[in-house]
Amino acid sequence: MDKHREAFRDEAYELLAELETSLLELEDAPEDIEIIGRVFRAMHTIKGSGAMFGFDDIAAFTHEIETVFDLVRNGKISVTKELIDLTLSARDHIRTMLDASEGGEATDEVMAGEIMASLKKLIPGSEETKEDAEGPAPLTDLIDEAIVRVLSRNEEQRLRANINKNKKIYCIDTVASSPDFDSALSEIKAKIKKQGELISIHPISEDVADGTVRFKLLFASDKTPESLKAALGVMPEQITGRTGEEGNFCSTSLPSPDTREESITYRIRFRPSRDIFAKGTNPVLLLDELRQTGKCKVVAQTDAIPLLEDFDPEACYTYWDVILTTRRGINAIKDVFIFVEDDSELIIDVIDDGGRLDNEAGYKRLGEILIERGDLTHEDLQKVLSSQKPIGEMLVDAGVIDTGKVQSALIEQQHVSDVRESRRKAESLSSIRVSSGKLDSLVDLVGELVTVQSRLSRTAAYQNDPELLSIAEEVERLTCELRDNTMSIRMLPIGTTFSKFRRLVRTLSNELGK
Amino acid sequence: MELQVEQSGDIERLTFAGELTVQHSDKLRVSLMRTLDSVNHVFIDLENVTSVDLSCLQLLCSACHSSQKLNKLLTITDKRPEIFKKAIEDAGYSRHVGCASTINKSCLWIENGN
Repeated sequence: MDKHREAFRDEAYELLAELETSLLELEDAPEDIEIIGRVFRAMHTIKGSGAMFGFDDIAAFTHEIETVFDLVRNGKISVTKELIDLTLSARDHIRTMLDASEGGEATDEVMAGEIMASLKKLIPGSEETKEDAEGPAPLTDLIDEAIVRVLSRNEEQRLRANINKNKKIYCIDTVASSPDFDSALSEIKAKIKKQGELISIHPISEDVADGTVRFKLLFASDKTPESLKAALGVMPEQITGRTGEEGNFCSTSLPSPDTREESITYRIRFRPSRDIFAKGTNPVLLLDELRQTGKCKVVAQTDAIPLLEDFDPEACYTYWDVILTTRRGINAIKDVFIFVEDDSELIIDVIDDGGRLDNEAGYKRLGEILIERGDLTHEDLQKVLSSQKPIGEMLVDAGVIDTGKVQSALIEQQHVSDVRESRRKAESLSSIRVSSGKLDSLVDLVGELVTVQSRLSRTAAYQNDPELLSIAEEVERLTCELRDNTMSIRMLPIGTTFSKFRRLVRTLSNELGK
Repeated sequence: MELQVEQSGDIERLTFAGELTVQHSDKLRVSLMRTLDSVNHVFIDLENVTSVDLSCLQLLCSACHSSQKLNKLLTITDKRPEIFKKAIEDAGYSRHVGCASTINKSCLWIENGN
């Protein structure tokens, strides 16, 4: 575990350097979505890895800043000098926390509190929150923070809505053998849905025997624990809504970190039921949730939208094609649609397996994709191939397919090509992490080897033994190669060194008012 | 939702302000149907709209199809608020090319591509 904590520290220092560089770049380009994304991702990784390796204080502190940057990312807060100043201070505080975990100087909790308070002031409506002291309590006042932390926005909204309706919140901890996992989960889900509303399902990594899967289901119901036990066959743990006692927490752990190595690319067609609005679900929020699982492109299909005279304002006519590259697996995708899957059409296909099987350089042609999806017949394709225009244009002109379908297929083609290209680049640039101490030791040893090699060459020349001379020349050649390679490994890109001065220049400029 | 109507000859300009959401989509539908019946060119001004949801994006798409069927022109003015652009992006409505059935393959979902 110490080795992993050490690896986390190394990674966190790098992420903090990246965070600092990104923040300084963001100040020059405050509307650059890509840089905002980089800042968010750096903090998200520090938070996630920190929680995983027991740096709970770092995870909690970073979570707060990440929340603010989530609002920046969604366009609800704009990037200002004050925000950059505070985030740089927060970044410095995280670094101090990392240093402290290695026995360095203790952190200044008062300063941390001031940073957080100032950041929260930047959140729109924070004053109202203060004034509305009688308003709804934060979820963490009612439910164990470990549970709240793993909820998606949609799940959090559902949880809050049920609490507001005075529903009791329960959780069930279930273990199933791996082969029976799907059927066991479906069975318990069906039972829960008859008793109330299922809010979330999360896997648990603690105390799991080999060959079994453990997961926790959070649900809302107005029934008593005893009647639920009769219906579900297991006594649920009530975590809110007990008379006179709140917050009898259900202990849980964070979901196990995803250990998949490869990013898999999926093609998802999601066609919600027409009455999804009436059921209180906004399908765009589900798409937002899907976007958070990986690199995602969404194309709405609008061909089912009727003319105005037949249009029902409360019906959802749109359906979507989504191309998603994620490391989180198909179950994470299914989880997004868990509450609408019974009434919706959801088709998930793997279109790129992360490079395990494919050895193609590019990707399928547009016509092949459309035929594979069932959006186009082979005959229609052949009919229009006789002309010379681009295939997408020809198909639209021929009226055999809607523009949205072509756009979706083109996006799939581009997306998978990009993913494969990135993978090739990553493979060619693959690197390993080695501590600088070990490299220094290698350089020292090579230095000594060069000295010894030099002595060997001199001795061989003195003794004038042809065989010894030949060996000495061979050793000299190998030593020179080893020396050059080692020196090239130990050299640092000069940009890393100079980028540190950007922050110094900024701080000095601020202090001098220039 | 607030609606202001200005007619000049065969052109009508519908200026919307406030929330363009499912609660108001029937009123929006009725306004669009009435306007498409009475003039040949409809301008929709969304500059002062504060919120747009999927229901209204669908409705505008439906209005565009209806205008094509009636051989009329429906255009959203160039001053599109950020909130409207974001709603288009979030719902996956952005398009690079318009429908084949529309005049010059125009489309409401291509920016400046009316």
